[in-house]
Order: sequence, then C-alpha cells, then structure tokens
Amino acid sequence: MAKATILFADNDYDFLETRSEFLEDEGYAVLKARSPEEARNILDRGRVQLAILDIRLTDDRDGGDISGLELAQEAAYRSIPKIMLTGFPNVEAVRIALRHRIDELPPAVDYISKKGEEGKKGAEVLIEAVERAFASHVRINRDLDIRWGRQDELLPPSLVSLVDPDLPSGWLADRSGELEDLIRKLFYSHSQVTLGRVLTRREGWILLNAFAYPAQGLEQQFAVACGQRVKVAGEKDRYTSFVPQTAGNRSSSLVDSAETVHFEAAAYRLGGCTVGEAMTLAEFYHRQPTDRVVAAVDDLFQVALRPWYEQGQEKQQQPLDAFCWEWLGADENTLARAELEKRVTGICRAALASGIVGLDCSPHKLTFRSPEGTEFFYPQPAPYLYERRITVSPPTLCGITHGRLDGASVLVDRTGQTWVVDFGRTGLGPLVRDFVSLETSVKFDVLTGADIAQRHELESRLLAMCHLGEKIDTEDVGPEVEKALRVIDRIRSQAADIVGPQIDPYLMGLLFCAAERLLRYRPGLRYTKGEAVTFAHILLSMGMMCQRLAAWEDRLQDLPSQATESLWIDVDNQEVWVEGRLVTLSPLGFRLLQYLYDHANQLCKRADIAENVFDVEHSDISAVELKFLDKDQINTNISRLRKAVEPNPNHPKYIVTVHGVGYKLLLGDVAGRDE
Amino acid sequence: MAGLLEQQTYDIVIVDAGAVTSASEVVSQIHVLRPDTRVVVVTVSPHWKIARAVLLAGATDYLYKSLNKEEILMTFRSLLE
Repeated sequence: MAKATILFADNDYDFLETRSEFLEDEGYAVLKARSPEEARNILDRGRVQLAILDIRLTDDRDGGDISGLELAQEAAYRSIPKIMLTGFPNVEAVRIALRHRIDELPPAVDYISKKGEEGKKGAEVLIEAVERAFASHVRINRDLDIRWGRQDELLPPSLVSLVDPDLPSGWLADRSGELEDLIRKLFYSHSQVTLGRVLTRREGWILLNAFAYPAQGLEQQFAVACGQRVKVAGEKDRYTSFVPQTAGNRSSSLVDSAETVHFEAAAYRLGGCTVGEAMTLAEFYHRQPTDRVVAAVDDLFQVALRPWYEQGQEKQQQPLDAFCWEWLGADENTLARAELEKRVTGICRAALASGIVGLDCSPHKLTFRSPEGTEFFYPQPAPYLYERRITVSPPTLCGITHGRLDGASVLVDRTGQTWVVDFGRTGLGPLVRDFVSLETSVKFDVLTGADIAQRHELESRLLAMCHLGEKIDTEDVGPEVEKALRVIDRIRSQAADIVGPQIDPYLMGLLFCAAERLLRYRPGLRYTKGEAVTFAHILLSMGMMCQRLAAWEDRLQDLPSQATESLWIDVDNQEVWVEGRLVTLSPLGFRLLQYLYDHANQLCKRADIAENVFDVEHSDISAVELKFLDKDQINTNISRLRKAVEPNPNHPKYIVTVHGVGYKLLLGDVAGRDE
Repeated sequence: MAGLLEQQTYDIVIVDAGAVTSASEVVSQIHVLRPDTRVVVVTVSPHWKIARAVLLAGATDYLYKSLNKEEILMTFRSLLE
C-alpha cells in the first residue's frame, strides 16, 4: 500500500525542506515544489492526495502575490483537498480560500499560519491540519479490498489503457495510481469491491459492472461509468438534466460519483437488474433466438424507455434534416463534401480489393450488380446530400431521447428485460432518433456473415414499405438476414406506435445515421473482409435511401400547392397531405376528414356528422343518446384527427370547433370545390 | 435562538460576532438545526482566526460591518441566487 502523498509548495527553500522532514517523519511521502509551475507539474501527474500551498508562492516580499491562492482556485485541481499556508494571515485571504460558492466546494479546506499558535509550534499546527484534512476530506479508502476483474484482467494499467490509449508510457504508472485512488474514493464506504468486466466502451469511457460489499450488509451491484473526467462529467450532467427519475424496475439511478485530476467515475444502480448476468443487446442478439430478441426490443421501447417518451413531447418547427446534420457533429457548411466523397471512393476500392464483387461508383451514380446479373443504379450519396435539398417538412416530434441507442448501450438480462445505459448523448431531440439509431446498429454493428448481395436484398425489403406499420417480408432469405429483418420490423412497429407511421422522416434519420458510420471509414487503412462488407453495405444503403427520398421529393414537387401550403386530400390515392407532410389516418379518421373536406368552410353539425360518418340514423336515437354519442365518438375522433393532422393540435387551424353546434374544416383561398 | 429556528425556516441568518461569545459555535448550532439556511457572520473587528473558525463551521461568509449599502445588497443578492 503506497504511502499517502502530499504536495508541498513554498518558494522558501529552507522552510520547505524543514517542514517536509517533519511530514516525512509522520509517514507521508512529500513532493516538493518551489513555484506555481513546479506545483502544477506535480498536480498534473495526479498522484497527490493533499496539497499544502504557500500563498505568496512567487515573491514573499510582494504583498499582492497570491499565486498560491490562485492555483488553489483552478478547476482542474478541485478534486484535491488543499491547505493554504501563509506567513501573513489576513481576513480577505481566508474568505477567498474557505468560502463556499454556489454549487462549488471552497478552494481550500484549511488555512494555517506559518507562525504557530499559543503553546504549539508551527510544525505541530501543520501536522495536525494535515491529519484533520486526511480524516475529513481525503476520502480515499486505503483499506478497500479491490479485485480487478475475476482474473486480474482489469488491473489499473489495463483500465488506463482503455480510457486513455494515447497516454505516453512514462505516465502510465502515475495514472494507474490515480485510477486506483478513484476506485478507492468511489467505494469509500465499502470494505471490498470486485470489478467484473467491461460491458461497453467508447472513446475515453468504459462501463463496467461492479460488486461492492459494505463491512456489514448485502452485496450491492452497480454499473460504473469510468473514464476521462470531461466525458463522465458530461454524461452525469445529461443524466441529471434529462433522465426521468422513476422508482422501481428499469430505473437507472446515479448513486455516487468520484473524481480525480484526470478521471471521473459514476456508479449507477439499475433497478431490478442482476448486473453480473446482464449482457449488451448485441451479445443478446447473437446468443438468443430471434423471438427473444424481438421481445427484448418490445421491452426496451414499451417498458424501459416509456417514461422518457411520455415526458414532454412537443412538436418543433425546425425541419428534421436540420437536427440530423447536428448528429454528424457538423452542418452542411462545416462538413466538407470532399470528405464524404473521399470515403465513398475509398470504400468502393477497398471492397474491390477484398474481393467483394458487384459494387461500383462514379461521381453521380452507384451501380450494384447482383449475382444473377441484374444491374441496379442508385444516386451517389455525396452529391445528393449537398445538391438536392432533401427536406422533411416540419413540425418534428421531439422529446427526451437516449441519443445513442445501439447494441452496446442497452443491457439485457436472462429474462429479456432491458435497461439503458450510457447517457453521453441524452437530451432533447427528434424522437425518431432512437429508433433509427438502433436499426442502424442492427444492420451495421450486429449483423455479421451476410454478403453484399444478401445485404442488398435486406435493404430492398426495408425500403419496400410505404409506412412504418407495414410488415416486412421475411421469406426466402438467409438466416442472418431473416433475423435482422424481423428485429428491424419490430423496431419499426414500435416507431410507428410512438412517433407515427410516416416513413420519410424515418428514412431521413437512417440516411444521416448511415452517413455518420460512413465518416468513420479511414482511407488508407486496411480493413478485414467483414469490415469492408459492412462499409460497402453502408454506402449501398445510403444510395438506395437517397433514391427513395428523391422519388419522394419528385412527388412533392408534383403536388398541388394546396398540399404543401394547407390541407389536400388526394382522392385517387386516398392520401392526406398537410403542409407538405403525408398524414396516415385510420379508415374512420379518413371518413371523418373527407366529410369535413367535402363541406370545407361550411359548418358541419354534430347530428349530420353522426349520421354521415358514424352511420347513426337520427330518427333512431333519443336526444340523450345523441349527447352521449357526441362525447364518446365524435369528440374523441375529432381529437384524434387533430393530433394526426394539425401542426399544433392544441391550437387547431384546420379543424375548428363551432361551439355548441359542430365543427368546420377551414381551408383558406380554396377555389371552388365539388360537393 | 434555537426556539426561533425551530419555529420557522429562514433563508439567511445574520450573526453579529460582537453580540455572541463564540460565533463559530453559533454557526455550528444553526448548521445542525437548519442545514439549508445560509449563515453570514458580520463584525466590526474582523480577525483572520475568527474568519477561519466561522467558515470552517459552515458559515457562508464573514463580512466587515462597515460595508456600504451597495456592497451589502450585492452580497445578499448573490447569496439568494
């Protein structure tokens, strides 16, 4: 067990040496610094558990020198308790050093005079202050028994390599010590902790399962997010701001967190989950039969994420593609088209080199030749994204989204129950995001084994639907493709249920998720055949989706202005267009709207609606029954219709109520209509 | 004082260091009874050791009594944010 390490910073060399000796005699390891820069260097190495800082750290004769105090206030070192030391004590300096600020700890935990007090020498006073600081503020459990993985595979140097792979090797020892301190802080009130295994990884961040044992009491299980301070802190902020706090099963509660200079760790308890038996959704997908995976998808959206989607849904006026560009961490002005093009050509070349036949690309076209010899032509995605203005008309349905739902951010237990983890991108956004993100992960992260022809078939089937509620054809394909299709089918039904059945926003979301994957390709790097197939699939799927969206856009261009500016019913196709959006209605909803539409701008009395839409003969029912029918059927269906059709259902502009009498469909500037 | 604190919650309590025997003890007592209440100690004769004692006991600030009106208002305003 390493000795507790103290940084002692003072520009008075003799004083520094003498006092340090006293501390070393007490069993502490003392790192000495004679200037603010030297102090920072030592603090940056991260192995210091307590810092003693002289206030006039640069020039003792300068009354205005508070360099030590300034160092104490730096946010980078806020996790290290500090004692201010001075030969010139004054009230103002004490205030700065010890005063609490809103939501922040004071810069220091004590303030000591070099001169000593009545009856005590300066050295004695200092040592007592150090001991008090260790007892109350340095909350590192030195007696904690730590098992680093069941077979020591997660020793601190391994963990540090996972979260900071670019660390120069000379710093590994210090950082490993710092990481060990982090665990000793996080599990301060336990007597033993066993780190299980790494469940998920991202850049600078890992998620482990951990089993902690208090001195007396039952085992506690946690999912611990651990990594670079900025990443874990960012995730914690999003968790606190957005994740609904629900009691009971499937909740994720942030129980505790700890930080050091470079790292942070947050322990989450997953309600009802035996973390030791939980696996990621990707692992579950591979090990379990399709039915169970499909059931897990249902559980994810209907149970685990339900409280999220139920909170504060709102329709925002921004079009979906504006949100989508944000997902790429860019917008169309900052992400150079050339970057995209480079990857497109790189992937085609790599595919060829890996022996993947059939895929070819030119500046504006992608060609795919199936094994049977059929040729398919698709737009090359890069020019499409930049040249054609693909838009999906607002409003966009937004709410609290996970933001990064994929095979690695969902945990599943033996019984198929799910929990979400990894809140690094949680926040407000288009609800469709979670669904397209998960579908993209199934196709490009989880699906293995299928060749490019099979993947082309997969995409064709997925693009064959007109709206999200339709069943996908899963006949006559290989087992891997069938499994993927069935799982995606379920994701899409959930999307239809929660976001709505419109397919064009969904495809737009998929297109941008695929673009994000495409950008991960690094030209010049050699990839395995499996990886090359996946990249080729990504490219192909983007081309196919662009074609579908282009057809959509052409259709939009051919629509009458009434469809893009207000409300239009396409009688031939039995479709309803509202301000450029295609709205899907139930048969009854359609009938109701059609009736109002045929009598546009005219009052439709309730009795007439009841008779013509709901087939209720007036003469057959009494006034009381009519009133009941009103509330039960007409109001409910009008309300449903408004939710589907109106850009803002709370302030309807098309389907308006004429109080006490009935309803009216308002269509401004409509040139004569057939009755 | 304990009686008053038990009866009602206060956002801020101002303690005159000159009016009590031990300002830091008073601060500790308030902290125990009402941990969310902010305590400000004021004094006409500030001393660094008292500043240290009251701040370590949990006081939010230690102020010199002859601050002008604007400064006092600013301090209290920022406390209440």
